[in-house]
Amino acid sequence: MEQSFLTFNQVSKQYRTGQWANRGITLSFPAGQIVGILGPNGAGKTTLLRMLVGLLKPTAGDIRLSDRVIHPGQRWVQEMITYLPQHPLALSDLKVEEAIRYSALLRGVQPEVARERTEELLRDFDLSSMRSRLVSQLSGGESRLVSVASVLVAPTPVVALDEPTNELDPLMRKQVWERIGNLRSENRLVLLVSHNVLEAETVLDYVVILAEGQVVRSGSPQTIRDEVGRFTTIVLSVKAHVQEWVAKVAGVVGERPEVDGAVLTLHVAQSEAVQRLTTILRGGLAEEIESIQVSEPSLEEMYLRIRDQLHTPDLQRGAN
Amino acid sequence: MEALLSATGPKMTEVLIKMQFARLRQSWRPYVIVSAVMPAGIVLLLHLIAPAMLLSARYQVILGAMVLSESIAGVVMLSQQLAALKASKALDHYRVLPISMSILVLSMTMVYSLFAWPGILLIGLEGQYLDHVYLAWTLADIPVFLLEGVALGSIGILVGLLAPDEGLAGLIGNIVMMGILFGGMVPIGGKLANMLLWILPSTYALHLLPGFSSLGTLQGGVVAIGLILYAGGLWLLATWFIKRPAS
Repeated sequence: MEQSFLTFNQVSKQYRTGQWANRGITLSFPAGQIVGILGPNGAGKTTLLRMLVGLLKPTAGDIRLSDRVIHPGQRWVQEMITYLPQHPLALSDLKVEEAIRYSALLRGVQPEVARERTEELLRDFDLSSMRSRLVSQLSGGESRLVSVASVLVAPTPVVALDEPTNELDPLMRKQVWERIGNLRSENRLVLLVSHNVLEAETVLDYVVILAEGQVVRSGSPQTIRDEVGRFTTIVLSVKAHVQEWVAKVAGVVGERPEVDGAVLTLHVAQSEAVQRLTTILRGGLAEEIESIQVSEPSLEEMYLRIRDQLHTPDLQRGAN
Repeated sequence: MEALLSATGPKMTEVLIKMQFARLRQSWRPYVIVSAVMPAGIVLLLHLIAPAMLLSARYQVILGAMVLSESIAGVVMLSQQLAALKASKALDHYRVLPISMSILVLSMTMVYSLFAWPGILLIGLEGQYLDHVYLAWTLADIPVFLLEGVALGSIGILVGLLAPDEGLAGLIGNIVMMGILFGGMVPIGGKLANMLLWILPSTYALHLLPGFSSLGTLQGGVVAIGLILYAGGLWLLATWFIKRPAS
């Protein structure tokens, strides 16, 4: 078993308003892992990160990093963890290059190394052409990218990222996910909160799903798949008469598919996928199909299914 | 990984100061204009409407305008800046960095106090050429300026952190600034209690320094120590509040 580097031990947080943001969170992570914390709005994801970085004090329980309990404002915690919040950093008065390099220097990186790492990030994130522009004059996406670079520039053992790809365009998001994925090889532990589950899946080693401040599922994406129940997604693109098709498919396979334009999606148990598809094709519908896609469920689909299941009493009882 | 990191305190301090200077680079025009034009305008106005004012009264007007300039920069502007940082949660950025918060407070207050210097210079020249008030500038004024910059800036930080929002921070900052101005109007006389009153709320300590020699060793020492304690106490208080985690 891998040694725990970071542990949350029965961590709870209640705000002054009386609202519980987290309740009895118990989790454990080794170094060199990329952990995704997923959940609906208000699930307590950001609160969990803010307690980790020492911005909030847990109401109960403790968080340990290398067996040392984290308390707000401790220097050793600040040295070991970098944090990207959802909101802008206090870098708006600086030029892009300064913002990244100063962030490294403020974390004790030697000036020459800071300069090298800054240049590397400017290059990787296509920011070189705007290196002399003020951060306050950048677009929302560009500014967010500078914030991400300013956090990733420091080689801390733990990186906490809250919605790192917010406001970024597809190309920027791709660059950021690649860079985050590379942190694993540096043996750094990454905890990231993201609503972009589909993209986050490409880098995640471990997933924690929170709802109403509690962990409802945790494990590797594979484990989550096994727990949620193996199912297969069948996507049919049809030529026309979508509504007729919905009725026909429903009649053949016994359930209504999801409809998005001329695309119908069915989630079926993995063991029944072949049989269902054969039924559709033999049911006289093959001629009107333009294309068929059969795939394993994405993490996003599993997450959405878990969210749907959360309303059922069984899963709520099973939450840890 | 450790090889990449080295605890370079002086380097971090330098970076923190540069970050505050970046604000100066961005916003010096409106800041300098506001902290210079209003106090200098008051001096000009009083010169025009009361040409027969006594020299001692003119002296008070000039010093009061200088206090006003420092208070606008330190209390009003810094309180609004801190309130803005708090509202945007950008202050959290500083809170998670392995930096000394006391150095952060010091760098903010020092840099903001610089916004007042052009105004102070302008008011000094105004006094000299319009009202024939010649201030006895000495080297001792420099630490007093710096200490008062720290003290007033720390008050600004406290107001910004404690005010519910940016608008109220500006309002409270202005009220505090007026309090500082009125605090300096208490006649000094020779009483120690009055001297301390001058130090505690205001930069009227500037006014005390040229007369330091006449104060006597004991009184002069008390005033100097009082000023240091006042600035130091506010600095520590502002540091504590900026470090304080949310609940």
